[in-house]
Amino acid sequence: MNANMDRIQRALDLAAVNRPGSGATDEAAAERTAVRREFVPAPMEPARRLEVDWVALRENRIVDWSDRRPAAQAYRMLRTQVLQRARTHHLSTIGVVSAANGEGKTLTAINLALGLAAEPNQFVLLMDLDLKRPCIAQHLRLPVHSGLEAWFSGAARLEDLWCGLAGAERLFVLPTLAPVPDSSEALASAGTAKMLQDLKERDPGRLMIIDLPPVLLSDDAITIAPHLDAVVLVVTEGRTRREDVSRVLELLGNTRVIGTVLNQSTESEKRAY
Amino acid sequence: MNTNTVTTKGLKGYLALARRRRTSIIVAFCCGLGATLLLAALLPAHYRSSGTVLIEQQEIPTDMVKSTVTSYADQRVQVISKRVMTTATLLDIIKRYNLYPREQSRDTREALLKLMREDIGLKMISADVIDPRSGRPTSATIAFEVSYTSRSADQAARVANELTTLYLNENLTNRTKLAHDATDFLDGEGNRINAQIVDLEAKLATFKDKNYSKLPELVQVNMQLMDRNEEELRTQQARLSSLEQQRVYLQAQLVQLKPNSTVFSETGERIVSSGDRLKMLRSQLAAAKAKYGPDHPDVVTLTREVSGMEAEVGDKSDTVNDLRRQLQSSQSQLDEARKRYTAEHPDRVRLEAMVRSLQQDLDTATAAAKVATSADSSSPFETRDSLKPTDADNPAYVQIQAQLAGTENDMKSLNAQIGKLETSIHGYEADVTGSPEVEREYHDLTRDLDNARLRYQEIRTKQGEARVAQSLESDRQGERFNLIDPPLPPEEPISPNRQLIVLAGLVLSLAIALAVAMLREVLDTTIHSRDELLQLVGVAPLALIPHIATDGDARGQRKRFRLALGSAAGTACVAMALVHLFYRPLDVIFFSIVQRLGM
Repeated sequence: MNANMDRIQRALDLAAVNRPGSGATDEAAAERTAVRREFVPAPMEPARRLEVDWVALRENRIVDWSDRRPAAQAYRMLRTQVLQRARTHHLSTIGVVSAANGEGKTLTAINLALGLAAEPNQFVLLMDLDLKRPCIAQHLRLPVHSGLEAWFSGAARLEDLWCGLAGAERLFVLPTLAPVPDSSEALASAGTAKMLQDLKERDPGRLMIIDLPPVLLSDDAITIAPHLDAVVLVVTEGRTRREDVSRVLELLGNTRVIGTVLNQSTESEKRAY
Repeated sequence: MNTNTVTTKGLKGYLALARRRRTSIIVAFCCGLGATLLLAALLPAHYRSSGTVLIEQQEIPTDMVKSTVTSYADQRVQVISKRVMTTATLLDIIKRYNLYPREQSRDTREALLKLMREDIGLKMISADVIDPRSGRPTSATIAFEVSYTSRSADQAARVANELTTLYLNENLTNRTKLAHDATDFLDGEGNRINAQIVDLEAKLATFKDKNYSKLPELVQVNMQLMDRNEEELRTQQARLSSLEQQRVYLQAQLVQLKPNSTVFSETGERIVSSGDRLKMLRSQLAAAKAKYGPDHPDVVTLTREVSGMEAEVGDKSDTVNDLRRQLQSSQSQLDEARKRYTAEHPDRVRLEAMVRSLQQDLDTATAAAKVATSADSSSPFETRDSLKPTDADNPAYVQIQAQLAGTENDMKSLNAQIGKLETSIHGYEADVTGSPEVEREYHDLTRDLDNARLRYQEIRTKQGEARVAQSLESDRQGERFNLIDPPLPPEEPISPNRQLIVLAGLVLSLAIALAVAMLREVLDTTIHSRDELLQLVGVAPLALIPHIATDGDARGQRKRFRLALGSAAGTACVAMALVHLFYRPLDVIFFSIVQRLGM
């Protein structure tokens, strides 16, 4: 409840800040405030809700709420900390980055999103902005035929693309199915920024977990980073190099890094119970 | 760059490291071990056969017979070794036993020899002993070992046998030759010195002959002889002077005596001797001549009488004396008359006439006597003897005369003796003074000779010793090599020490594995722990996600395990097959292992 009170307070503040702006934003803000006030648990129902076989997805290392593997505990740990920080600092768009590819960034994003969505009253949007090698849909075996690439090419509306998942009511997914050409330019476009802003404004209490491409392999991540509230840096034990981590932190500049996740860790903070 | 990891080290850190690097550790270890195992299995076996040769000391005590071979045993063994290891000998052995067949066709002769020399081993076996002479502890070589290493046990034994025989033979010939050489050398030296001695002796003999009396040994004798001679000379001279005195005395006596004894006629009248009568007649004649003219009958008569008497006496010299006497008395009478009388005084005239005639007579007589003396004057004694009348009949006179003659004879012989003594003394003196000069040369010669003799003596002694030593060597009674342990075909190879290789390989592989792990760790800059990340970023990671194991992973793991097992079994089979084919049949290995375990 406390969190909700916080959120309301933040929304009010935002409204106060935005009020002296243009009429359009005023209108939007007024609308948003009205929505907030109504406190609708699911403000935007997705166009479709997809059936997902969670047990089968365990083979893809997807950790669902009923999972008893040691990793599930670790993800819960991560979930809780991210949530706390997000609430403390009023963060809603959280990117998941890594230095290089293959470090479990996408998996972390999915599992983090699942974990957050397991929290009552917490809506989560999982978004695949790794436009070079999008693979969230693949990981979740989503039976969809189009994703964000369609939105970037202007072939589809955002509302048609996102989907809900059966068994995870508060989680929505915006997948990308095919790589987007000139991904960096696409991400840098005003449309993208607006899209993010829109999504943020549509439901300020909803957390957006965004899968981003590797920071050091392309400029996509740093292009989009200024539009994000914070990022989580994924580090894989025995794979990520120290200098790379430093370089990533350097490149991210003043984007807030709420923390790191150490994947493939051989030491665990606690035995599972 | 690795500073961050340092703090996380400690036993836990190392364990984490080992866990992290287990793959590389295992791979490196297995590779190393596999390589050493292969090496241990495939290295060809080398067999060494060795013979032990005991160096036996001389049995006859060295105090009694000294060997001329005096070098130390080990030194000699080394010398022999060098002689045995000649190119010719080794090549001969290589050819005879067909050693190194592969290398023979491939390598140079030098390479072959090098191989051979490497395979031949010579080991001295020493014992710590106390030197009986100096009393200090030293190490003495009591034996040595000749060995040969080959891939075949039989060949090793055969070649080692050959080599041992070579060593033994070489030692024998060497020792005998050394002893023989010593004897030969001493013989030669002896002959040389002998010739020198003969030469010196000949020189000395000639020198002695030349300088016999001056030899320094004779100086004393010469001195003594000289002294004695001088003494004798003095005695003889004393005798001579006494004889002189005696002669003077005898002569005086003789002068006092008349040669003829006074003869008296029946009338008691003393019969005057013809000499006295001649004197009387001469004085009468002189008186008559003074008184009368020459034609006076008295004067004529007296003149005739005197000439008759002179013919009888046969002495003219007396006439000279008589005449001189008469002349003197006449002269003195004339001097008296001259003082007393004038020139016309008849006495004075007569006396003057008489002196004149006497002077004439004297002159003629002196001239006649001179002719006579110059005709038969040989010795002064003889002239003196001429005074003596031959017909002396006075016994006292005759006796004295005889004594005088004896004395004079003695003197004559004494004089001769003295003369002889003086000459000999002179001779001795010359010898003694000339001696030092001779002495130097003589000493040189004798010293050379003595030296030569001394050396000759020494050489002779040594020659004798050398001969004994030579017979010692030829009878093999000296120090000798005794083969106490002949080379046998070895049953066990000496190398390679497979266990050691495996053990070393084990250790080495472990070290290599660790080194590889460390190297990888050092080169690896990736993050390995929460702490590292904490240090790097400044905040602890939000979560540590362990590896998420899936069923597929488990299946894959099982599959990999089965694959690994299978490949290991396959490798083992191949390895065993290799061992069976190339090293030793497996059943043999099996039974040898069983045997070893059963022992």
